[in-house]
Amino acid sequence: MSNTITIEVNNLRVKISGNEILKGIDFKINTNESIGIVGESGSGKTMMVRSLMGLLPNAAKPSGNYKIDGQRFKLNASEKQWKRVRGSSIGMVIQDPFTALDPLKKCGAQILDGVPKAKRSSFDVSSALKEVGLPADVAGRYPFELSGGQRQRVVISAALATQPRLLIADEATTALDVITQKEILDLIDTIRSAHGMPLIIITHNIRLAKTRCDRILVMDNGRIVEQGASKNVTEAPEAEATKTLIEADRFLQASSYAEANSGGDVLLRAVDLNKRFGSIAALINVNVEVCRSECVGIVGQSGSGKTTLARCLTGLTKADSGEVKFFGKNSIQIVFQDPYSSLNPAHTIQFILEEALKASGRPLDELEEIISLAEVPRELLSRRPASLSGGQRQRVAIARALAPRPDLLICDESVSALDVVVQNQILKTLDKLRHERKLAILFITHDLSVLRMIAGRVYVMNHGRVVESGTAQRIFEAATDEYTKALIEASAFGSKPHVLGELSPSI
Amino acid sequence: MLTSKLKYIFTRLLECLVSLVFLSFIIFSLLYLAPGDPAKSLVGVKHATPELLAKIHAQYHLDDPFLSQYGRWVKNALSLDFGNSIKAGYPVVDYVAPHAAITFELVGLTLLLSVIIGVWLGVVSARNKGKILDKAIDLSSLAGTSMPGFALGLVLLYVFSYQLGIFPMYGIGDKSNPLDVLWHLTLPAITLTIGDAAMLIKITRSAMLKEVSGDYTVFMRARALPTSKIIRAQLKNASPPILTSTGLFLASLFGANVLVENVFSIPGLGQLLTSSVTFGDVPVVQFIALMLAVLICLTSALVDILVYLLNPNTHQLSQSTKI
Repeated sequence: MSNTITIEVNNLRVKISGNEILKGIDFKINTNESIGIVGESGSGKTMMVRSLMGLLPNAAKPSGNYKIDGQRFKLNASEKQWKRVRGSSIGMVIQDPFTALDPLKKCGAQILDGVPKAKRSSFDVSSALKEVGLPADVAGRYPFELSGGQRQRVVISAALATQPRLLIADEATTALDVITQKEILDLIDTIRSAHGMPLIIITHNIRLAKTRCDRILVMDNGRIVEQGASKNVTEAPEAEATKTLIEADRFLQASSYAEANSGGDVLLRAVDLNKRFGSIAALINVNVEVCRSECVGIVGQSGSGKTTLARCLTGLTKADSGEVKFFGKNSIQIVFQDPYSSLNPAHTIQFILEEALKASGRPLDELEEIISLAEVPRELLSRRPASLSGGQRQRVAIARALAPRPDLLICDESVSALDVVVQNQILKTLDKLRHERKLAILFITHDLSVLRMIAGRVYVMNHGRVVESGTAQRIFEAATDEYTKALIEASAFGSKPHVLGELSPSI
Repeated sequence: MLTSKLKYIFTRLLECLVSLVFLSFIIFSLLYLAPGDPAKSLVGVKHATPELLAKIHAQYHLDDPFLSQYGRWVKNALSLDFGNSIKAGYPVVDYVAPHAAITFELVGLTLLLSVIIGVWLGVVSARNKGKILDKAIDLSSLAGTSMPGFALGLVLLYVFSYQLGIFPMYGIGDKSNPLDVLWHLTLPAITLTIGDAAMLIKITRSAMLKEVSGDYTVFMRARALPTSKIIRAQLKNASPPILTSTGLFLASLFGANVLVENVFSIPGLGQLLTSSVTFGDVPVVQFIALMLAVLICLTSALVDILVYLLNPNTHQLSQSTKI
């Protein structure tokens, strides 16, 4: 196909109730290239592409010159007029595969919904599913019966069914684990070359944009602050925002590892843990050890058993066999992925933290100490959880976990929901706590790159087993297990898929 | 999958049956809750001679043990025999039926109007969130919920019947002419509808707001799917609270219409119930109470089953294991 779409937008501005979200953007596509739009959350990258499809929130007021294939198009067109652009000209894959599909409708019917009327009778759903690497029987399934990766493939298939000439992937892989992420990105690459269409990838991960895109646009605070060939932008960044994004990326950095403390004073030891749920073995002969003031990482894909392990270690779930010994005097505390649901929205942060101190029998004047340790800004004390950002909430959750002066802090995907820059700030705080409070940390994550920054020792889990363990340095630089190698390669976004296809046939 | 569906439906209906057994026991006990000899209640306003009382005792088996009386009452009730009305002197079922027909018609009409208006305006309101239309609908639904039905009925009666003469003042008109009955029931139905529709607007709006801003809505719009298709998907996802509250409205309507029937002088169940309670016509009160209990229990079971069947996820909950 050679009917390349041309898109041009000049001086694009978007205002929401007086605030200017986009501050004059010029942007052009006229070849079949792949473009990465990168920026921190809130930089306006999603707003920008959504304004090209008329999918802005009701309150948003867009302005500027917009041309599709040389024809002027009004940015404030009616819903009916936008239907000519959406689907047939521009297709979009949105972030969260868990919510992008109608939960009450079978996948096949949802894909078929977008097919232009004239082509509906000749459209073959099973070959559309085959194109995205799914078996034909997925057509008869509901979204909840599929894994995240499979759902994202259905979403891609549904987006392609409208036969777009430009595909936009808005953080399309952020919610998936690293190996699935890589597979989905490979799929998008394959589709792009098969359909011969331009692609826009929106991401906060500049490393991803570097390996997947020809050109990178960096956005900050509603403006494009830098653009150019991917290689140039990432290797010789000029704008501050670009430098921050690169600094935040742990794989673009030469890094030093946290010290491993193996053989020291053992704080927690789990021996031969086994746990089954029906026919599924969640833990098989798992042995784990955490020493005092050490950070130990546990990494694995979803379903590898890492959360079950955390639950067994804290006694929330009882293992079928094996034993857990805790040698500390004080408690074990857990910090979860999303603290929002565990912070009572009706109370102020001060109340929440004081309540935690009271519950653990500590004097209230320790409030100062825990907020300074967790680096919770003082002015947040009088606010309520809803008005805090994700990173601030996570700091409050950490401060609360510190109230009973625990010996061990278990962080279960504690930074996964945050953007990279904020992730790094939280990780630094945790590392400081480890040093200053002699706090041991067990960090559970699907993202190896997080562990590279914080963990001294790493356990790699797959299908309920610990497949490899050792110091972080050895794991990252001389992994022996195939699965570990695949995880490392996937998190570093190596350009071509090698072992991955064979390793996870289930997706 | 099919068996788990059937199992749910069976369990839900069984629950319904259990609560009906419990309710029927209380309803039967009504006869004994009135002070004094139940036979005296059954005699009514006639002079209670000892002979008459003895006759009543024998006729109603009042000297049998309580439980066996209950058993006999249930057995008769199953064959729709609730004895004779004390006031009318002929079988309760025949006495109540014409009144019930009118009320069912009124309640049915009200429910139909409430659902159409409430769901429609709720959807419009949610899809136009923050705009003037949304605010206007919100304000009028607030007015609707806070207006007492009987007061509203009087106002409507004054404006539309007395001043404008569009609708009749009272009664149900010519029973043999369904159109005439409908014409007579329109104003009372509107009176009852306004409160319920206003509440349904609020419930539909808040259930729809979540769907309107949901990711799948954005994705459907991004694929240029027809608006009607998008609304259908949103409504289906938002339906559980709407269906549940509609079921509850049905129950509350039978209570609310007592006053409205009085305002419009409609000889329905409400009027019959008030006069029967005043008169002490226990068999009639028992029959009406049991009939409403059956109706409400069945409706709420049906609503639950419908909500369950709508969501494919719930059918399999028992089978999926979470790690």
